[in-house]
Amino acid sequence: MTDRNDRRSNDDSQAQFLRLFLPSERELFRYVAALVPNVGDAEEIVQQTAVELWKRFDQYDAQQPFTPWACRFAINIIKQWVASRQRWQALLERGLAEELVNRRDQLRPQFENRLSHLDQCLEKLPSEQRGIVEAYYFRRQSIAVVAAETRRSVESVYKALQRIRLLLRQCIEQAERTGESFA
Amino acid sequence: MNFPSTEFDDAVTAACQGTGSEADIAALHATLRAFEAARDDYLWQVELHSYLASLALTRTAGPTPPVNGNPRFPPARRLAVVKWAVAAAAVLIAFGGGLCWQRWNAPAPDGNISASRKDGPNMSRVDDSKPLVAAGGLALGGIFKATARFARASDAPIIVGTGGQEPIELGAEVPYESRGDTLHVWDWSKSRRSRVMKDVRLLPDQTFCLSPDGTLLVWAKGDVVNLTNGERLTIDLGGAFHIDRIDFGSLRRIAHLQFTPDGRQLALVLENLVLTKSSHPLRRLDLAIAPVFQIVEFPSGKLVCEFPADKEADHLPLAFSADGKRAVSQYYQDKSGSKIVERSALTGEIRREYEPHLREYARAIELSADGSLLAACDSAGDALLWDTRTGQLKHKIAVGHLHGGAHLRFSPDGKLLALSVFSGPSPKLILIDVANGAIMATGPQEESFGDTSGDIHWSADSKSFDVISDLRGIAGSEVLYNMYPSVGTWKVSDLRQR
Repeated sequence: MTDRNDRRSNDDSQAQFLRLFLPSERELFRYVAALVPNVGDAEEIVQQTAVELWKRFDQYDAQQPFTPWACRFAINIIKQWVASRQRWQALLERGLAEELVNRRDQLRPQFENRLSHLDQCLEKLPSEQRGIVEAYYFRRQSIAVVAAETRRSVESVYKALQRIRLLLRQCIEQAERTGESFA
Repeated sequence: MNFPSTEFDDAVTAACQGTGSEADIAALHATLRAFEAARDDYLWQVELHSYLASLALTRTAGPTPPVNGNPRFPPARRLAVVKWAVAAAAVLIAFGGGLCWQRWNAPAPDGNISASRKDGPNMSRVDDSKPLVAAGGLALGGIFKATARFARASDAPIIVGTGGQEPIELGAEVPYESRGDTLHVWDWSKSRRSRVMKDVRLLPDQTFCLSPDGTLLVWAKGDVVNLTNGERLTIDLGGAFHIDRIDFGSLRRIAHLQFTPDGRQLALVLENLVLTKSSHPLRRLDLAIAPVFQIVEFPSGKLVCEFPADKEADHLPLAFSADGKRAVSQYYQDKSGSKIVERSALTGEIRREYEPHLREYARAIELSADGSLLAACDSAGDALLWDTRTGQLKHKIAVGHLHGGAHLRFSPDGKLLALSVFSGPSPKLILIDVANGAIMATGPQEESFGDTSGDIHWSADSKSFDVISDLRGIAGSEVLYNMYPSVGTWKVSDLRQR
């Protein structure tokens, strides 16, 4: 009976953790990606953060918001991740990492406003470019797979993604300037 | 590095895509330290990139559609909104009916939470009604992936897959936390419940296949387990190493493994690495992948023949004649579509190239039991039937533009061809009269959460067939479930009356 109660208690904790973690996950990912923008690397860091959060979940104060608590763990994981990668060391020098996350925090309302135009701008993309966005970002296909399916070279897909993001930024900024509302 | 500059934009892009050199990243960080405006611009570029990445699909499944041409699926967010609306409606109905719902992970009477769900695999769940569906995208697209993996026997009602230590029913949705690497074997002609082989593991990243009769499981690394008596042996296939993170993906030496229908040979798709001297002044060598098929004797591992493979050969296995002596594959020809080529599976020599080329590429290829007919499913929306003795095209049947994987199976008597395709918004079954090329019937398949269509297994009398959906992926939002294969039986007579 004790085993069963322990399991039930553990299940309750897991359920509570998931209820808190899943809604925070996207914001946590975006927070991490501000410093480590590559999707695969950012996901790896979020995953490590999730494991760490679960291990320390008994320390979480349920009266406090979950996401900032999670972000504090994430920045430590990012620092550990950076420490093992020589080329990223400059991110830790002279407080650049902290400066970037603080600045992002200040810019967030502006970013959220801009991103409210994203759907409409996605609709304006030519169908092939929209297909690449959906494959790479939404379905998380690797560049190699997207390249194979679009019969392009890997380099060409990289370039296409760069152009697409530029087009989206221009479209969003234009919409922001003209006060266009797509709500 | 100046700001603003193209160099800066390129460096941000390289950081986003993981392609930046040490110098690029260091220069980018130096620029970010030097210019406040650069920080703002960088953060905005990265925010857009990470926001898009965070909109990953809420459910994952097997093969995905090509991305050229018109988009075939709505963006994930719209999909999520639809799912949310549907789930919310289900909640209203449930509460309206005075129903109460069980806690998602309430233990079964035996206290075992790995027991399969009692409701059907397609019933709406109250936990899906929580407004977490949109938030669950990253969980499903990135952190949590379907962990259950499956293989199906081509000539027997056998499926193998992974799970925990308890038996699992076909069609079950098993809580993600109960996942495991233990081998489960289903013989759906006898029971929907799996037989657990507790001492056999199927690990992630392993390539494996089942023998046509479902008795032998073979790993690319060379392990073989007899599923009837647990006996083990090995076959030397040259090793099965894989390399992670080539262009964000992984590279496996053996990308695909399949038996010939007689079970006497194995066909391997090898992703051979080829190093050539680079013409670029800064590179010494260029790296390319040259996929090949190798056919080896089983169980000796002796090489029978080797011939080039299309770069997507791991997505489309060879179609073999029943005696294993002829093999058919496709080769994409860039602007002229795909050509279908038949070779001797004993020497690798080309026996015939079939005309016309496919407009796009083959999603499925199949030879009839007597080897006289060849069928291919063109993703552009055609099913093509050739006479293999003359090479002439007998029929070209419009079936609608295809998304994702497709399956083709001739009935044992050779009179019917069953197609399982994802065409339009949902998976469909199409039955074709081989003699005149007419579509006799179409029917819906069980809705899946990706773009997968089920494989087909005909009965010996050609009067019915089973549809096996084994790439059902992962479901759930607040709580995640691995979705196990489902099997549905269709009678030809019922389909005809639809």
